[in-house]
Amino acid sequence: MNIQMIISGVGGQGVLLVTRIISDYVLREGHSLIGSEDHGMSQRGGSVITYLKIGDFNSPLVKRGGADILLSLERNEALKTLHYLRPSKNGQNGGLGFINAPDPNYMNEPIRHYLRDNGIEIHIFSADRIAMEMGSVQSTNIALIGFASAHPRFPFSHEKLRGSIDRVTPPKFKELSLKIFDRSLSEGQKLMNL
Amino acid sequence: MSHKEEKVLLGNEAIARGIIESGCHFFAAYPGTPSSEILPAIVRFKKENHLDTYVEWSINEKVAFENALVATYTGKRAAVAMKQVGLNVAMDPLMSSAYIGTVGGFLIVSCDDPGPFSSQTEQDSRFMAMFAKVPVFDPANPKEAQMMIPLAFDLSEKYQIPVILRPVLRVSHAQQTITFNPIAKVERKAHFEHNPQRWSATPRFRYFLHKQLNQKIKNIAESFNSMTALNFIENDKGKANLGIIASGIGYSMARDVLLELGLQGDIPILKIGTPYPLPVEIVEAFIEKCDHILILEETEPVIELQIRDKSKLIGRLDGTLPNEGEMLPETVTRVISDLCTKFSIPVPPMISTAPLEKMVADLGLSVRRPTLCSGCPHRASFYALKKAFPNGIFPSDIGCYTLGMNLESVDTCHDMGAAVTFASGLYQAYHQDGKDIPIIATIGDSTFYHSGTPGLLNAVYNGSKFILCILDNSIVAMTGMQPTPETGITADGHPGKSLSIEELVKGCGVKYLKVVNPYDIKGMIRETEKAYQYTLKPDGGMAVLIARYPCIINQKDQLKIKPIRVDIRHTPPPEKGLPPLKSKEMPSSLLPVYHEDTCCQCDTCVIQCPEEAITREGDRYIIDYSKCTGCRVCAQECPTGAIEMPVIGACIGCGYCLKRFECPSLVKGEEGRVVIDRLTCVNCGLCLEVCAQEAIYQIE
Repeated sequence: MNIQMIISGVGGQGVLLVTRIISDYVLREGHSLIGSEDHGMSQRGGSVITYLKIGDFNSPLVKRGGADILLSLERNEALKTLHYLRPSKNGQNGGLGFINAPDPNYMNEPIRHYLRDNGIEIHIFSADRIAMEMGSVQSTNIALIGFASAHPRFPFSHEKLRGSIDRVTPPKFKELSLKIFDRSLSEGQKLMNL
Repeated sequence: MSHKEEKVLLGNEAIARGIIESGCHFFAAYPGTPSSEILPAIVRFKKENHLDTYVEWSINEKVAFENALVATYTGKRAAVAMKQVGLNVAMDPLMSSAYIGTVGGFLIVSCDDPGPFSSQTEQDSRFMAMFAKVPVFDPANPKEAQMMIPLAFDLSEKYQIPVILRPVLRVSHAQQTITFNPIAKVERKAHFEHNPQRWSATPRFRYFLHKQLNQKIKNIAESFNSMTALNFIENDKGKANLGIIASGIGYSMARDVLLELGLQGDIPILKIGTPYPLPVEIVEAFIEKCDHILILEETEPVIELQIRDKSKLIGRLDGTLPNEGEMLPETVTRVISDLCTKFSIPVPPMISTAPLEKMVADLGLSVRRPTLCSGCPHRASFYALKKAFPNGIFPSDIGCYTLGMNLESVDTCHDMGAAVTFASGLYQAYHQDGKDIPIIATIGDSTFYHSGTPGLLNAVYNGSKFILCILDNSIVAMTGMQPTPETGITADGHPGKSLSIEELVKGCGVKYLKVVNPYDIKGMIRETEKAYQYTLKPDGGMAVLIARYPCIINQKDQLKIKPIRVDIRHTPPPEKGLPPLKSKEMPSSLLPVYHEDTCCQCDTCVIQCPEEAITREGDRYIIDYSKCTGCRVCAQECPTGAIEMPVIGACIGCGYCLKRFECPSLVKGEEGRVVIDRLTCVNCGLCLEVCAQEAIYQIE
């Protein structure tokens, strides 16, 4: 397993929890992991980006055009980190991105065109809405992972991810987190026609 | 075979693990990004394994260094950790410690911050090692840092010399799977052997010590040639067209890039774990075998400069790699790709992401700048200080409160403690010309303990007169809530002695000291003005204010005591849909009007206007309505009511609160009108003081 990943969002959205869940998963599966996190000086509201590399890697940074997976919790941060996704020469099986945004068509045509041409596949989903509907605004992160895990090319199995969420989430949020995860998974299956 | 424990750890935690596994007895540190997480991890491993390691947060890096160094004189193993600019503070003892040496092993962890992300400089600690003549280890990733530390301790003890470990941010703050090794039991009882010739060597003996040091460094360089755990060749294959010499993070990047380009078998890498002293023999032998050599090292050309024959070298000195900023994987990929093309090594073409980056850049998305947190007491302090002296000079210091620059209340930020010395120097420079202007220095409590006092002693002694405002939130907030001496809790959570800033200030000879509550903005403005009057008195002197209120992130419960919910009125009855003044549609009846007859010509309006819209002409004032935003601060501040302006009682989008209060929970809404971001608002109620149009009100 050699996977390079970017997780982006803003402070307070729980980018770190997503990183912890994936780390737990990877460790359980016996793969090596190296990663790094960028956050500005601000405690809240600033851009946060996590680089994760799973498999035979030595350096923590993912290069532009090097990521297999992008998970983004915020629409603008998603745009700012889109260029990390790997373009593909033949226009197929490039990087795969999952973005939390209310409007699935918020990216302009030239950008969508570029992504299509380079085989970069993007799925936009209102993880915020699901989290809110289920009564936990903080769980956008869990909803987005649930959604992503419906995709056949998403490299982490949803059953095992469920196990990692179970282990990593604080007890207070566990039950609700798992419900949100399951609900987003089925939404994902519906929305992505899988 | 027993299964070893594996965990994903932060680089700094892996470093702590390495220190604990080496049987280190004594650890001291001063917090600073990216080094702050080492000490808490040492404490964690100490507790988990029931060790009796001595751990302290020291007052500053020099103190930490000296404390730990002398522990090695007693035969114990000691380590000290700091950020790279912290090593500047500890440079004095470092230089001398190289000459005098150690008995027990001594490890200095100096975390570099290429970028820089949260430092004043991008300085390379490996140069500091070279300057002081002590060996330095440059780990490529957390795992290697953990592995290097026991070797560093052994080397330190063998040659009786301090050893530096230099992780960069991408090692300190990387996360990696780490295997836990057993913790070495190193039995050492403190035994200080009297040896004045060595421990207090006079200059004559220092000459001999220098000679000894040079010999040590020579021997160490030789021993590094055969330390294959640290310095080795990958893909060694006799002659090569292109070879890479890489150190630290440069090595990690080289490996990943070669793997991605499918060149891992084509280009040999000489990995250098010990950039100083350079293992010259293996370096020269490697260069001999290659036609061209690319050098990848972060941040400065430390290895490159040590290689005598530079004819084959490609790196920073010839400008192939940028000489500033962090080394990025895309840069390294491009450089290696270009060199391969140049030297006819087949390499896959790169797809540029530049078109996409340009499309996104063209969207003009806002970049979020760091701001003080909602409810931060520093914001209240800065607002009050600027309100009291809009035309003052505000030297400040290193910490969260540097962000006071967003509120126009921080003019300088230089190095730890410089708020006090800069204020002092500014006072003397103006005073020399017979001019006294308000100078208000701000410094955090931890920074004041770190290096504020020497400047204060100096100011009192030399007769400087300014206001020093110590922003006391009783914690080191910027670097992750470490305790200060005032907290009275030691690094490992035990009760310690709680120090008093008041006593310390008084001890520096300051006669004027007031403790103020920054949450009482009016009171703080009043006290600042009184303090300034004291500095102007012929028999006056330094005035110190302690603005004391806990860090709101650390003490969230503070806000539960008396939450103040506020809102912003947008449509005042009876005028519905009031146009913003900036749109030039504001009726003239709502603009400020100047009355010459009641004016006392005090210049307050000129000083207070945030837009510089009011100027003095002879003995009257002119309001430039094209600059006026309608904030109403002039009318509010005029002591004689000579500026008349009705209170609208609703937000007119003047932007005063955004500019001078800059709270992340006050955000621009429709037509530039300000709204409250309920997600981040902590109900501190501080903004109630800010709007002169009285648009912000408390919800009952």
